[in-house]
Amino acid sequence: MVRSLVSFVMLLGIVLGAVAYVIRNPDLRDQILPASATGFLREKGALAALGAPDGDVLIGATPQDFLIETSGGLVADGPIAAAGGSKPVFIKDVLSGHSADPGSDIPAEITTIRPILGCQLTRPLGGTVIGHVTSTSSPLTLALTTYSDADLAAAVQDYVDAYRKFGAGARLPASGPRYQSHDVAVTETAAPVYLVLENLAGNRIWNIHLADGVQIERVVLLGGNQSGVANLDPVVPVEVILAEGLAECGIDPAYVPGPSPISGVQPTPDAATRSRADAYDIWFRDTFDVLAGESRLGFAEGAVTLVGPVPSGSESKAVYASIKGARVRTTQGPFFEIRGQVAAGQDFAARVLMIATGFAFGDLDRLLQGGTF
Amino acid sequence: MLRFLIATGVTLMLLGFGAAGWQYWQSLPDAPAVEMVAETGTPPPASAARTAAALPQSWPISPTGGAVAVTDVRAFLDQDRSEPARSAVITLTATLDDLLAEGEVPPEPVFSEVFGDIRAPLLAEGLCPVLTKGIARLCVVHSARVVPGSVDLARGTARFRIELYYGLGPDAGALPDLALHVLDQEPVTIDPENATGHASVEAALAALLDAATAACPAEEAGQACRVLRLSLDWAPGQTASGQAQVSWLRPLPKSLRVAPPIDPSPEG
Repeated sequence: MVRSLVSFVMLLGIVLGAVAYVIRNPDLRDQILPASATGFLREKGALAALGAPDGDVLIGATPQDFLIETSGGLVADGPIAAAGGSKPVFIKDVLSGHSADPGSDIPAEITTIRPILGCQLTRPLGGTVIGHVTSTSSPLTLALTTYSDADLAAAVQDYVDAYRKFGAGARLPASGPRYQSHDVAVTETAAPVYLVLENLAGNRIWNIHLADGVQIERVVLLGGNQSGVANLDPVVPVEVILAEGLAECGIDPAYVPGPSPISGVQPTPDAATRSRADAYDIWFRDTFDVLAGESRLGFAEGAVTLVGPVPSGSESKAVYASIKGARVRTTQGPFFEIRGQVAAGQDFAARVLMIATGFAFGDLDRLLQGGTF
Repeated sequence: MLRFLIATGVTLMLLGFGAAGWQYWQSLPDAPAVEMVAETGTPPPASAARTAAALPQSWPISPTGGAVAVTDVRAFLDQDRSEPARSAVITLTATLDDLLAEGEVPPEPVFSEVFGDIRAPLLAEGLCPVLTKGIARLCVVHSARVVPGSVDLARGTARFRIELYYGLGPDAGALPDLALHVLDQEPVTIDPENATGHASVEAALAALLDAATAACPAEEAGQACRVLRLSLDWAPGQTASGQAQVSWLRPLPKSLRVAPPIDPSPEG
């Protein structure tokens, strides 16, 4: 009996030792555990209790180690935020309590806003600091979806193509175009901040996180299919011109690539890009008193951008505000869904199936092609 | 303690070998391997069990003495199975309203392209009968799709691409000894005089077939003349354009001779 107990304790010790080794080794941990499990351990403080490095930050690593230069621009491949001059900083150094997985967060209140009529935005007041953030893509996908008939038509075509290839095994789309979240950490306290948040593609919710003493004067949302803000004081005005509106106004957002923060090389743009960027600079300066190319912050793909100085010493960091329970003001397409709150048969996939079946006279097998003899 | 270690070891071995065995079992193929994979990289259908190598003298040479592509050889010789190289490709302009059922309301304009793509096979329904009335014994609609980006919302039209596979009738003729002949090919273009005024794509296809079959009795045509690779472009009220590839066998030119088979000598 005693021998069995001792054996059991030894075996338990070996197992616990192996688990602790895996958890303390970030590379091994990422290979073995799913991201959700790592997130759970982090949330419950297990990582800290075992002395494991938090997140993916390797001991001794620098923020530059997580920045990748691609043909599409700079990509944040780790827990870094974009600061002034496209310089990377660790998120934990500028934003406290950051969550990298807002995918299941449901806002408490969603208010629909509409793009402005015309092309004239409200100019910033004198002495205001302009916080100009750009983003092409973010890894943070939300539980909110919005789409139009054009999105449905594209999805029906994709489904038809898949059905012709795989037959009844073709998969319906999991969801329509989801909103991506981009965290904007504001630490600028020297003057009120006028935020210009420029979405270069897709649907975006800009999640605003403020440090103590920050004042937001106004928020302007430019570009994208749909755009909105979360965790912004309801008294702060928001103005929107989506990509469609910019085109109607003859505004063509364009930038000349800046010098690489990795290699320092300054790419040479072609004449057409230079011309477009110059035109956009002029419109931007006439509207916001700063040049677009010089004022922009943010990586092409990243989750967090810092507006203001990197906090040091007694300066306070921005405090993370979750999408969960937040107030969201956003533009929407004709259809809007919150994951888990859509009536049966009314979600994106059901609509795609219904349209495809209707066009195929009720029989999806009529889609099949590739007849031979 | 020893028993515990042995039991632990045996358990781990069972788990390890069991997992390995399970992975091996899962990796076994579900069905016997396909006998042959065509040059296209896709497995042939069941009817394709008869390979090119099984056809009588399946490798005719070209008039210049070079090898003829296996796809052309199959298209010319094997009329019992569909071959991509023996097909009719028809590109036509049609009104989207023609695809509506009786009493059906047209879809929103943004859905026009995918609607046309799904309903495109309706436009192909009258085309196979044209081929089977003319030269073909077998005909099947291989694909019928809208040409992406071709929808003209102002006119309510779109361009469609239809591909038919066909097999020629028994009057395609018996084959002579292929070793003593070369496979020749010639393009035939639709007669411009007959190209206009076709009220329908079916009429234009029939005219193209007439032009193609008319090339066979020509003096320069050889034996076993067969019509391959029809292509037709038709739009209402416009001049149709079409081309056919006609192939036939000619006697081996005097400059070429049949090489003796390469067999091992009787002495080994």
